[in-house]
Amino acid sequence: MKVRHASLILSIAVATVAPFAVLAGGTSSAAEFFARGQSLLRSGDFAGALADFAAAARSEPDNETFRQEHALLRRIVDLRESMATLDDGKKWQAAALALRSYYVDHALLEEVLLIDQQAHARLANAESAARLADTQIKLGRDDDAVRTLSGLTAKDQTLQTRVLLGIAFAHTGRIVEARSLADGVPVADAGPGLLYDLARLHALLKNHTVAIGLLTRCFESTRPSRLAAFKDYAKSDKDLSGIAALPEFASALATASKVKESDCSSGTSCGKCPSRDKCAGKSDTKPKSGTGKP
Amino acid sequence: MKTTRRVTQFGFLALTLVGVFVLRGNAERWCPFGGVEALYAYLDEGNMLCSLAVSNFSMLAAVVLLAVILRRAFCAYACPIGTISEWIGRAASRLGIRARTIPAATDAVLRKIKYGVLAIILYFTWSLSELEFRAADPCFALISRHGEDITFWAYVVSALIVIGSLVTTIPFCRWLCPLAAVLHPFSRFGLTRIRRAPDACTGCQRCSAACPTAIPVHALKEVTAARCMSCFNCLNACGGTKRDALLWGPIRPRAVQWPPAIAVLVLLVVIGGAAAWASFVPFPSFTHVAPDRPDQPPTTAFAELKFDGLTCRGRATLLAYFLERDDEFTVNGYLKLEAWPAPTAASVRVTFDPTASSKDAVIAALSEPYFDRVADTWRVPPFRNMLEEN
Repeated sequence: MKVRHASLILSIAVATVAPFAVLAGGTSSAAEFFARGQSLLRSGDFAGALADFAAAARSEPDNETFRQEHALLRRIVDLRESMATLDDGKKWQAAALALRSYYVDHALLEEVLLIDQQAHARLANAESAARLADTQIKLGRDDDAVRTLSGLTAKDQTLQTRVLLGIAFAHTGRIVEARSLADGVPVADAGPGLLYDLARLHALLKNHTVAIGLLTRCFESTRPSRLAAFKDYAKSDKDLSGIAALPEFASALATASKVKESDCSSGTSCGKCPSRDKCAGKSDTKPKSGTGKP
Repeated sequence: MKTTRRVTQFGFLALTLVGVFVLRGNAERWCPFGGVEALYAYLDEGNMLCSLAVSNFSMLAAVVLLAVILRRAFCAYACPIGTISEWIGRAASRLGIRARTIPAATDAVLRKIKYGVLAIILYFTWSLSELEFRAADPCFALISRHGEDITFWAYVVSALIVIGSLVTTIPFCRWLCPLAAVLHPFSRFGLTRIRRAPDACTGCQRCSAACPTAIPVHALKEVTAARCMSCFNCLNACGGTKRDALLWGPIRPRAVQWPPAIAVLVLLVVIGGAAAWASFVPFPSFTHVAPDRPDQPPTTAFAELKFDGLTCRGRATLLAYFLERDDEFTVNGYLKLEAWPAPTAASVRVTFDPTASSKDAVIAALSEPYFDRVADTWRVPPFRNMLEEN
């Protein structure tokens, strides 16, 4: 009788636990597929990552992250394949910006570099040079960044390219040249991107007070929705490591935004948006820098 | 009859709980009061509110029809809130908690509150086109599986109903229920009545004591009060000669007497018929016609799709927005969207001009990730194409 009872209890226990074990197993394998996919993506194996993301999404269909990352990567892979046959310059540029955004978000810096190089080869203007140089600096290829920015004609140079060149010089020990580029940069009308890069340059040049002041102004002029991400980025920025331990740096990180949030509804497109004219050309509509800076 | 009613109550409550917690269905789409709330929006713009569906109208029609035939029988036999409230009261009675008798004058005043509740709910719901009181709805607390719109207040109201049910008989149903307020005009002129035969009546007043809505049955020749729920508690309690002092039957001819079991049969046929009609003749809950729709093309095509993530009217509006986009996923020949929002696998029907677009283009517009140049970020639509995955 006792044996019967014991086997009955055991059966009930197994029947109760088994479905959870199966579910847990499914969850675990889905997570493993996803983690492996991320790893493959980081190594540049897009096809392998796509297969693993697909397997993760299939194993756990209710997981929104798996589903979205799979759908997104599938689209990115399609876009990458279509780039080779895109003859229309504007379409190519739009596709390049879209791909670049994905690469930046997923910290695929080698891919960012590749697309920046292709874009600069096609466009060869200050904007494309600044993007490429920023990525090169992030990858530690400061000499390449110097070459990229030095290749610009005087009329193509901008404050942004000048500051980035200063950063590249500072990284390679050419302090005098870096200092001459840092001095006298007009910041009255500068946007958060330029203020931030200038803060980096001054931090590298050990002008700590100036760097902190620029960083504070940068945060003040950043939209509230982007501020937290910007501050997180600043905390881990190696160029700011010289000032990161200062109490003034902590004060700068506590700075609140002084600008209004964008009216952008973030809908599917701005084609029908009544605020479209107000948005065009705004500095915060520019693509992300290669550094992942918001 | 007492057992028949309890079995019916149990059946409806079990159906609701299984539908909600086991089958994980959208029980809200079967709530008759949802039909009242969505009526204005549907007549005004052709769309239901939130995750309500046209089935709410069929249930409302069924409940109104029942009120015309059987008075407020829906409340006594089918409403889960009524059942729970009544059973709590009965359990309290078994535990020795005596239900308080409310003085008739006070009861008469309290009964009027439900009209105020109805007026407030309809004013805000109809004027704002949102289920403004859903967050505090005790029924939603029961059927939403702690859904995203639920708030602390829904549980507070539910707790008050439970506490109220311990101390007096079905307080929510008698005094506060807005659906009861809707049903009263129909119930008042209901086609069936309980009649008292004065010759057989001993005047014991057991019938009045048993009435959950405090109708003084012993003093009436005929129960015409709109709040009569045809629960037949009075008939069961009757202590008249041969227990035939109370009779139930049609208003004409007065002499006809029906067995109370007919009430359950009628109730099941009417509610079952409404549910079947809603299932087999599914009108869309959401319709959107392309505003710059070209002249009707000679041929049209349909994309019949199933999407996860299309849970409510807001999401259906977003779906229409995706179909009207003007980027790389533009659906040039988009004509009309019909949607049946649901917690999972919502049905969608897109009408388009096959010479200008295709089903694949429709699917891509609704489910493909896209790059938002303004925000410089990739976005993934919240809709998952179920058919593609299968």
